[in-house]
Amino acid sequence: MKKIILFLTSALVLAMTMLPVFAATTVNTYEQSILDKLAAGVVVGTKTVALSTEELNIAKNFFMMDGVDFTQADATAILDAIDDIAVVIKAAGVTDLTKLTLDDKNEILALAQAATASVASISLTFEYDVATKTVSILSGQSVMVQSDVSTASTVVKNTGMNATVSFWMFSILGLTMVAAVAFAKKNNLLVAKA
Amino acid sequence: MAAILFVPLLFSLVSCVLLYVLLKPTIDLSLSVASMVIAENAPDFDADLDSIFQGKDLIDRSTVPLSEVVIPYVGVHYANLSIQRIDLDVRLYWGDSEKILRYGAGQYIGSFLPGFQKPLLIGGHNLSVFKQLQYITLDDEIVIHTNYGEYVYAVDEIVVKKADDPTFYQLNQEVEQLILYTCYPFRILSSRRYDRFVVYGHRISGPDVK
Repeated sequence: MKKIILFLTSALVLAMTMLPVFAATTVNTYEQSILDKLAAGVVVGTKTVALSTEELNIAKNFFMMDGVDFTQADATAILDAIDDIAVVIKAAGVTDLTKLTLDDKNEILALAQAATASVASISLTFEYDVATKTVSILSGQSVMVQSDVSTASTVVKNTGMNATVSFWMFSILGLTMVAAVAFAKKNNLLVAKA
Repeated sequence: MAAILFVPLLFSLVSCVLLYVLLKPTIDLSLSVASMVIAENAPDFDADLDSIFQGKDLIDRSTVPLSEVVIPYVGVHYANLSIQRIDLDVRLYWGDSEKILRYGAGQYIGSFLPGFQKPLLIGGHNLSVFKQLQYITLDDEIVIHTNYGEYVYAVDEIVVKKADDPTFYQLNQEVEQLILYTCYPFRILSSRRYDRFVVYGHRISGPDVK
């Protein structure tokens, strides 16, 4: 009897400590409603401000990630936040989001952080790095999404090092030094005075 | 008296500024490398250098279920990219930040994994990871080996483009186009700072993700 209890207890502990391995999942209907809303964007004046194709792809990849399976309640929270963010953008009257004021950006950041934290199906945090101007969505310490939101951000990255400017400045400096020494020698400026 | 004090100081300041401008590319590169081993906080290697790539032999399949695919976290090594003829064999990471590109080839996360019948956009540094790319030809095949399938792409086009060229990529197309790029030209001294060497390919084998 003791052996049976011991075996069952061990099996129970083992089952509790086995971490489930989540595989990629399809985008469910609730997540699709978020994608549709992001794609629709917000109308400011006569223009529509919406995420780019690439940014929508990032969102789609996020919804296919391990453990991301939004419920109706999760989607409702995110959709409400998108509506609130749209109000801020409309009130600002800008069609270029990089031209939002600092207060507007902070308000949008706060809305995004609150909405992300309210997702119950998975623990997420929304961060903005001031130094690198990147926004990230994390699950614990793992970065699920990361995007450069600076004005200089590009899809095609800088993948090289160019030292041409340095080379020419070094050359000019070197020539200047040689000229200075030649001038000094010619005018006996380097002769030590007794 | 003031000249004895301020003139040397002025020249020192000007020299420091000049030296900084001259050495900035080298300083940036050195700091970048140093930051991998020196940091204010203890480095989290699990987050920076994690790998889910198993490198196992795979059976040929026409399809693979979505449940077998793991969409990686940003900064994770998820596949290997190789071009056998030009001796190119590099790690492929999900994400293409400056930090990631120091370790290997980086895939833009607004593109898609192999097998999804959608475009892949992958970059790498011209003097390291993608240095051999300069020798690629139209007859070459690019292989991306993942945990769920091996994908082979035939090279369609090799071209030099500006980084902001609107025809560079089209990430909403329903075609699995492979786009590899690196800075051009392949040398440290160049008057052409903003060009990219771009290789376009299409998939010729590998399972569809369903």
